[in-house]
Parts: sequence; C-alpha cells; structure tokens
Amino acid sequence: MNQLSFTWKNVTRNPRRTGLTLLSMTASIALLTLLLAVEDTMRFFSQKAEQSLRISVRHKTGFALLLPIAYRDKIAQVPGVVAVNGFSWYGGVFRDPKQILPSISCEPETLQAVWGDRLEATPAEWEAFKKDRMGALVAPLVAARHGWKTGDVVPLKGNVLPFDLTFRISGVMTDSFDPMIFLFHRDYLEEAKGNPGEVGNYWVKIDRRENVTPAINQINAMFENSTHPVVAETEKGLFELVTGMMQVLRLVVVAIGTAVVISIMLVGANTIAMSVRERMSEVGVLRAMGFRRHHIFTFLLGESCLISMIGGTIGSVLAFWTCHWSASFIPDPVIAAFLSKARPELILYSMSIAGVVGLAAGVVPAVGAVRVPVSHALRQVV
Amino acid sequence: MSSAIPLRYNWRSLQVRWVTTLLTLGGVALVVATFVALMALAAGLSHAIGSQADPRNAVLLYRGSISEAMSRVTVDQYQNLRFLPQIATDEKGDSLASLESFVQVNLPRRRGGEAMVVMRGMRPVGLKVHDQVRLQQGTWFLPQSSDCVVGTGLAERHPGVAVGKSIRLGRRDLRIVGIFEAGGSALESEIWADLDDVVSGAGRDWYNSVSVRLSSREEFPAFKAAVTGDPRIDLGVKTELDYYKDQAGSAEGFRILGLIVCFFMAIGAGLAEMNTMYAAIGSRTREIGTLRALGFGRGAILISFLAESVFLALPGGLLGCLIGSSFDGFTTSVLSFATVSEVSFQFLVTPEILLSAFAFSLGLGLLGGMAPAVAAARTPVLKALRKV
Repeated sequence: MNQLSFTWKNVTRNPRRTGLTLLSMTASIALLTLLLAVEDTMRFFSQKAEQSLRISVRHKTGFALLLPIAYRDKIAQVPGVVAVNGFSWYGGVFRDPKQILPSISCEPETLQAVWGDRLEATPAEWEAFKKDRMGALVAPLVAARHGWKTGDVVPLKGNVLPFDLTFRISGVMTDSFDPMIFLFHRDYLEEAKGNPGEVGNYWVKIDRRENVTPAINQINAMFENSTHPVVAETEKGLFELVTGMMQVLRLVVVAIGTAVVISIMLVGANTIAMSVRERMSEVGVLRAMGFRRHHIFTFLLGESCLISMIGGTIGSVLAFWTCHWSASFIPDPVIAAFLSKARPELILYSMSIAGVVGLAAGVVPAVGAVRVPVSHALRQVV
Repeated sequence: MSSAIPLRYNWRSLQVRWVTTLLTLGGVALVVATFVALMALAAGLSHAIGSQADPRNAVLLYRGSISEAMSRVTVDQYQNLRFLPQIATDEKGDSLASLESFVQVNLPRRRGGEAMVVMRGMRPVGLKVHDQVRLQQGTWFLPQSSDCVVGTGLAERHPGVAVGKSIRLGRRDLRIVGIFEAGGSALESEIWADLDDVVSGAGRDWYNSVSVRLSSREEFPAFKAAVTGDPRIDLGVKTELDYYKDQAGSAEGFRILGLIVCFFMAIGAGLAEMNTMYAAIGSRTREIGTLRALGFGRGAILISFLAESVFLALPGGLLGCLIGSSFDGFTTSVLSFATVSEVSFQFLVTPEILLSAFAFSLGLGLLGGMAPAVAAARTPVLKALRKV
C-alpha cells in the first residue's frame, strides 16, 4: 500500500463526511473562480492596454463633448504617428430598449492600421467591411447574443441620436478588444447627422514605444489654447479612467474572495480536526508500528490537500463552464462581456489556491495529532 | 415520559469540542458578515439613486430612453408641453416645467486620475421642481452668470471642488458659488448650473430632458395621456419614482450578486455545520443511547440536537452581524452605467438587513442540523448502548 492509496482509503472511509466537505469546497471554489474571473479579466485588459502603441485623444471636458474632424490631419503630422482613426458613438438599441448596443463609427480605411492587433477578422471580412457603406464589423459575443451572422440586415433604433440606422453585417470577428463592440462607417453616421464634422475620440497608432510620450505631449500642447482642448493619453490611461470608477467592484471582489478563502480553510481544518479526533488511537497504533511523526503529518496533510484539490477541480471547472454558458443570455451586457472573457488558466489558478488552502488547513490539526505522545494516543477512547 | 433534555447538556458538549465549535462558528460568521456587507452596499446604492424621487414629479425623455444621459429633447417639444394643465404652477403663475441639459465632465480625483461626473443645466424653475435640495454653503447660481453649485459628495471627493474655484466646461469656466445637499442622494454627486451656460459650454443645440412638478400625484395618468396623445411632443414620460427605479439597476445588480455569493457561501457553511453535527452525534452515540435508556423520547433527542446546531450557528450569526455592521457609513463610489458618471454612496446597514442576517444564521443552524438530529433520534437504543 503506497502513500497515495493509504490517503485515499482514509479519505473514503467516512463517505458522508468526505462528501459533505467536498460539496462545501466545490461551492466555495466555484464562487472563488467566478470572482477571480472578474479580477483576471480586468487585469488582462489592463495588460493588453499597457503593451499597446496606441494613444487616445479626447475632449478635455469629457466624452460628452466632441472634437472637430479637422484635428485628424493635424494629429497625423505629429512625428511617430502611423495612422489616426476617429471614433464616434452612436449607441442605439436592437430590440430591447434597455440593452444599449455599444455601436461606434470608425474610419474603415485606417481601422486595421490602428486597431488591427486587437480585432480578428478574415481578409475577406475586412474587404467586405471597407466596401459596404452600411457594413458593420461585430464582436463575437454581440453577434451570438442577437443571433446575427454575416449578411444579416440589422436595424438599430437611435437612443441618443434622433435617427435610426440600418446596417449589414460584413463579418463576425473571432476576437476583439471589446467583446460587445459593433463597428461601422463614420461617413454613414456623419451623413445621418447632417455632416457636422465631429469625432468622439481619436485613436492614434504610434510607430515606436519611445515616440509615445513625446507624441502625447505634443498633441496636448498643440490644442492647449484652441476652442477644443484635448487630453491625449495612453490606452492604459484611458482604461484606468474607466476601471478607476469601478473601484467598489474590485473592493467587493477582493473582500468576498478573502472571506471565501478563509471559509474554505475553516471547513478544511474542521474536517481534518474531526477525523483526527476520531482516529487518535489509530495514530497511536501507527506510531507504535514504527511510523515517524513526519509520516503521520504527511498522511493528514495529504488527506486535507486531496479533498480540497478534488473540490477545487470540480468547482473551478463548473464555474468556468458557467461563465461562458451564462454570457450568452445574461441581460447585462457589461457583466456578460466580463464573463465571456474568462480564461481556462483560471481553472489551474483556482486549483492551486485550493491545494495551498488545503495544505494550510491541515497544518494545525496535523501538528496537534503528531504532538500527542504515543502512550496517550493509544489510551484514547473514542 | 418525554421531558426535554436540559440545554446545558448541549452547551457543555459544544465547549468540550471547542476547536470544531469555533471553526464552524467562524464559517457562519463569515457568511453572515458577507451577507450584511453586500446587502448594505446594495441598500446604500439604491438609497442614493432612489431617495431623491418626489412622487409628484415626472421626467420626460426621448422615446424609450432609460436615462437622461441617453436622451434628446428639443425646445419645440418643451414649449408644447410646458402649459399642459396637469403641471403645477408657482406663486407667480409660472409653470413648474424644467428643461434640462445633462453633460458628463471629468474632474481630477484626490488620489490621482479622473472621474466622470454629471453637470446638470437648468433654469431657475429647476430649483422649484427639485425642491428637496438645500443650499449648505454660498449661494445659488444666477441665469447666465457662469456660476455653478456642486453637491456635497463632489466637494468631499475632489480637491479642485470648493467655493471660489471653477470647473471647466468646453470653452467656459464655471465658478463654484455654492454647495448643496440632497439627503445623501445621487444628486449630491452632481454639478448644477444655468441651462444656457451648460448648453453653450458643451457646444450643443439640444437638451436632454424635462422634469415637471404635477399639481398632485393623481394627475400623472392624465398627464401621461396628454403627452403621449400629442404628436408634437413625442416623448416618453415616467414618474420620477419609476425613473430612478429603472436606474437603480446597478444597485439591483449588487443585490443579486450578493444573493448569489451568499447562496454559494451558505452551501459551504451549511454543509460544514452538517459535518460538525454528524461528527458530534457520531462520537456521542453511547450518550444518546443512555439518554434514551433514561427515558428521554425521540422527540427530545431531536429537539436537543437541533438546539445544539442552532447554538452553533447563532453566535456566528451575531458575530457576522457585528462585523458586517462595521461597514455602515463607509463611503465609496461606483460608476453608474445608466448615466455614465460616478455616484458616491454610503453603505447602509438597515434593521431589516440585520434581521434577515439573523434569520439567515438561524436557518443555517436548522437546515444544517436537521439531518444529523433526525439520524440521532432514530438511533436504536440497544445498538447505541452497545457501541464502543
């Protein structure tokens, strides 16, 4: 009988207790995985933003104010600038007036040059999008939620702007920087607005990392005393503006995560403490047979670790699956977007947390068990 | 025959297994504390978003819009509706209908970065429609004076917000002349200024919404009929209560999140409780046999062990309530997706939350203890006595 099978025998000798502990662990780890998914998605976006060579230029007052299209050519002349693309918000709703679609107009000719690294579509889809004035390039999740496929005609009702627009899906991307995004032609929106020559914000692609900061400074200075002063910032800076306002969410995630980890620890420690209590004379017998303290210690730790690893595996796989499954129907688009981005690495991450917590939970009862003198342990009556 | 087993028996049993008792109790305390804190968060947020609503007020927005940030109203629409008979008038006979503009501006934050906050433009009549707002310091803004007033929430959070300083809106600088409070509601996270100043500063030729004070809340159906029946108006209309109820989606989201989290945690804690009670009963089978032999009935055993399970959970519940309550009054802010702006609010621990948290821990004790207690009660006397 090797150590693993001995541990397994011990784990399975009280099936009811092991079952209850396992279920308890599974529920907790599933919850922890869901929380980690939120945290991980935030971190993932932040990392992607940090690596990018893009800067955003927006109105100094805020997103509610628009910039003149004439700024595009001025920004394009700044040293290091590869391409400039003007984005403008349309929004709109498809059927449910409560679900606002993040539809944004862009300049299709330079979209690939500016955002190509974070938008994945086939060359044919890119071509179709550029050619079709009514064309729209949509993110996978938004297409899945509304059942859209290439070639579909999609009428959107305006909610901020006082007109409706009809689009034709040029392609469904396989990946995009925003899992809900809906991109279409700037000319199409401008025409409907009566050609006011406005842009929400500019995305500017810079050629090399060392040119990013000088370009930001130059753009900020260039429009400082104009009618529309701007804020040029890195993609990360813009990202942090938005996530900075979700600090409470982060706080909640961290606080609950901590509570869950502690509760797993309590449950694990309790289970091991109970089995140690009942097996005290057995521990004495093992010791009398010649097993050393560290053997007993490893047996007990192994038991605790095994239970929490099994619970952790089931729980994290279940949570990961739930994330992706629920993203397709959860009404809140922001939450859905978050869930759809859950990465499989999370499973490993949760499992390792479960393992560590399992080990930690076993330490105190295991130390207690091995410190009891053999004679005492043997004399113990259950 | 079946008199009750003294509770002292259970109490002392819990003391004997104090390690297990404390571990189980700690688990319950954690779940209950999390429950209280999350519910306090949701209650605080929904208080902030919903509490400024006046039952006599109605909000008019573009078509199916749910928020002023996503709505557009023209002067013509306003002119066509402002003299509807259901709208109240002030002492001078002016109609209490306020055309408003709604612009998000970025303000630097104390600990770095920026926050988007709402700037609301209105004419003087707006202050009569939103009359729950009180000036705390300074004066109100005057028409076309380039002055503005700010809510107390903003003044606390942003270093550049104080009387005498100014806030930039497009090409304009609006001087802060006063600070107002609005009973802890989300209005306290707003900047208020003259309508024309806001609209011209933002370079717009359109408005966002109309707020009206009706002569009484019973007038709303007639008002709604009048608005929807007039094609020149063509706006959606809601009572202010409903308007904020729809906006409180994020509070509702946190409440649901809280319930889901607590559901999972309750499974964890409930099963741990069950485990503990099974272990307690397993190691005391002979005691149970003895009790039965002494004449205590099955019912007495059942009640005794249920009581023990409740004893195990209730102190945990109390501890959890205590920990959770320490969050009361904690101020934080959240991005409201409906208005794309930051709303500050305080955690609000209400008696209802504490009561339900207490009931929650009681439920954990009863549910976790039920199966083990039934098992204990059904133990055959002879078998139990023979057990070593």
